[in-house]
Amino acid sequence: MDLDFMIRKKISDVSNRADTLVQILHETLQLNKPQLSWQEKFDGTLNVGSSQLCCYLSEGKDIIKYVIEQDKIIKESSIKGIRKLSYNGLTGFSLNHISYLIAGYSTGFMVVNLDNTDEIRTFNVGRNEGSSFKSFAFLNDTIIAGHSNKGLFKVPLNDFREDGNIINHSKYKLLNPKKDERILTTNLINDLNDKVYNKVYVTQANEIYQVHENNGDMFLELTQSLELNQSITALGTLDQKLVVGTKTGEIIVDGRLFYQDEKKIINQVQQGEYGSEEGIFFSYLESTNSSRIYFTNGQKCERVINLPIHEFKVHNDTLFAICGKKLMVNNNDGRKEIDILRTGKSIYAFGGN
Amino acid sequence: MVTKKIMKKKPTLGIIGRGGVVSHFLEYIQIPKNEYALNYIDKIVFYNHDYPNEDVFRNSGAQDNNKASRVEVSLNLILKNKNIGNDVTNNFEKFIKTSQIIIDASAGYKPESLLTYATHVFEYSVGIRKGSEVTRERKNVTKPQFNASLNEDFKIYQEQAETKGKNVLPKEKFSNQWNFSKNLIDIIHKVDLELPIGMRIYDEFPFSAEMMIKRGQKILEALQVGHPIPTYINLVNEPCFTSNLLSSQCPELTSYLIGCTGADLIRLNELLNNEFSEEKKKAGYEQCELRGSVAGLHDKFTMIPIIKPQYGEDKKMFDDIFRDITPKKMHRSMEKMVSEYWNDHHHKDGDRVQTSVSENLMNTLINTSKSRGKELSSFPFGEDFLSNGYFHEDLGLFLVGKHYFRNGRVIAHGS
Repeated sequence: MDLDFMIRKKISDVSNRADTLVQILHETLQLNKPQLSWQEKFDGTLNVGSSQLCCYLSEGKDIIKYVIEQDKIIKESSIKGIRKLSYNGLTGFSLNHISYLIAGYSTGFMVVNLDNTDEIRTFNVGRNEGSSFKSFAFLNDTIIAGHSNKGLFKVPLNDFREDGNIINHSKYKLLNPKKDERILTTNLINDLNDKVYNKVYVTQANEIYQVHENNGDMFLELTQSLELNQSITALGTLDQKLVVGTKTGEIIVDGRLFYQDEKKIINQVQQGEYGSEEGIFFSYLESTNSSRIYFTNGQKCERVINLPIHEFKVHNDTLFAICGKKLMVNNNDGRKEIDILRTGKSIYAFGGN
Repeated sequence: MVTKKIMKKKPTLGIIGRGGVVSHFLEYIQIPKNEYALNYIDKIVFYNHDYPNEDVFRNSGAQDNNKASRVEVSLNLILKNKNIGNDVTNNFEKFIKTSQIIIDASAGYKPESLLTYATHVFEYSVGIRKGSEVTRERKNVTKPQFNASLNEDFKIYQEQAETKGKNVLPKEKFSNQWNFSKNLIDIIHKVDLELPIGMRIYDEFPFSAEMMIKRGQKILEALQVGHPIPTYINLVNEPCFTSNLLSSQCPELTSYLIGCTGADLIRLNELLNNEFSEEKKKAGYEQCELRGSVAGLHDKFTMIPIIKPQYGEDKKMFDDIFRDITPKKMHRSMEKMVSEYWNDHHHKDGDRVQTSVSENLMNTLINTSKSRGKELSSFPFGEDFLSNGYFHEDLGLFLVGKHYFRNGRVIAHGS
């Protein structure tokens, strides 16, 4: 008999025997079976909902608005993307509290006034193979835009011409990334959302910088430096403290290790409420590129949705996730799902009314 | 400009238990070749759950009133020679809060007549398995009558506890525990008649089970207050079984919990290299060390030694050494030898038996201490794996297997 087969068969026999034994013991003693904590709250729902929510998703270069109601998700309206900006569809997204939506493309970005969707501004830097605008933030009335290759731009809303365009983009450079230490612009945030706090952070390798403004001049100041091998892959906030996700699977809050997982590259961190607990939702990238959403309060970790998801957002204590061709919305009203059309990469942003 | 770094403080080791395992371990880590292990801990905290105050607790286990206990002697040497703190607490929540790593080497009380009953029913099962009906009759294998006495057992318990200065349980509580253990012995016996079960599941597990269920509940309460989860190294007999109980009460602990059973692998490797020394010599591998692994449930009848090349090892070496030996036969003989190691050795050389337990405990402690607060890159592949009982997610059981620790959590080898 083949040795491996013999060993496998033996392990299987013994495991079955052990399972029977433990099952009888636990049943007779009326005890739960041993388990991992996340299984208890598998597919749990979020606690606090919002009376009305909407969400924007990309469809190619266009942007579709969905309104989330008590028991359904309704496709409401769409904003046409600008063809000349877009070769590969929308590549970045940002929605800000002043009701501007910014959509990033390979050659530039467009700013849409959501109160009047005909009011569109564009910023064009020209084509650059394989690179694009990926993340945005507002610092007062200035847009901080991160380009994956060209670095950071600072563009005041008032500087757009009457026709809504900016042509001479060179004077808006905030920072040029050096070749070997590129700014990870995807982590640009001013996520201290909608509140009194108005801070913008960017990350570069293992360092976090804050963008400051002084008399119209902008500069970067080093805020936190992690250990050399802790490449930052995600940035967020928790109770006004900075949350960092690293390539080595750590979540660091305010410079201290909050949670760590193995072999996982954290690719998103978002503050939120799960059950009665406040903590961090995060997703990680595996080698297969599949992600799942987890929640941690720093001590324990639970899998929230056991499906590979593309991206997620937490807004008003509601969790939105793109899973395959579905949009999922999880809140205290339960879980809603709709099929969405995805062409190219779906990036999305959320906002309430 | 602020620069912050993650603090990597050495962990505090919490210990539950003052028996032979703890005293041997504290002596073992002071042997010169092992004392580096002490560099991995900052402080030792004992949990006193049995004694009215710290003084009585510290003197517990002394053979003679004028002498200090073995644990205390070793501990004092450690404190004297190493910069390690020490504390005793009877507050379980504080104990969990303080300890980043916990060694639980406690044991439940074994009422005398109930233990005799457990031994008798076990022997009866063995008798039944061994022969035909005729031989059973001839050997007079008959089902033992239940004649254990709760009152007698309580009297003995009371006397023993008072002599040792322990807190004495009220009779009602003792009685509940007694009945729980009796019930468990009967369940185990019933299962054993269908699926063979080893002796230690009879004479150890039923007496620790209730204690571990309650401990699991107390851990859960402590963690719900919001304390970080410690790595829990469980040596309470039988470790896979009692880990199942802890996990059922406190799922939060599951991925930080191991049943400390790796002594089996140390023993297997020792036996393997002794037993096949001639074959090694013949094949030209005299200097090489054969290494196996162990799988299954930590019990005589459900534990499997696996003798094949481990990760990164030379398959040719195994093929050459075992050229003339059939794998089935070899596995069967090693299975028997490992499961009977304790019986075969503890009379001749008690220290040798205990040393494998301490060696595994030390390796496990060092590995988890090193892993706390560190990222994945600190654990390159190829590092020696540990072998303990950990939670197999697919089976929902604590079974023995190869694993590592990463940031205090148990990670299966190869996952």
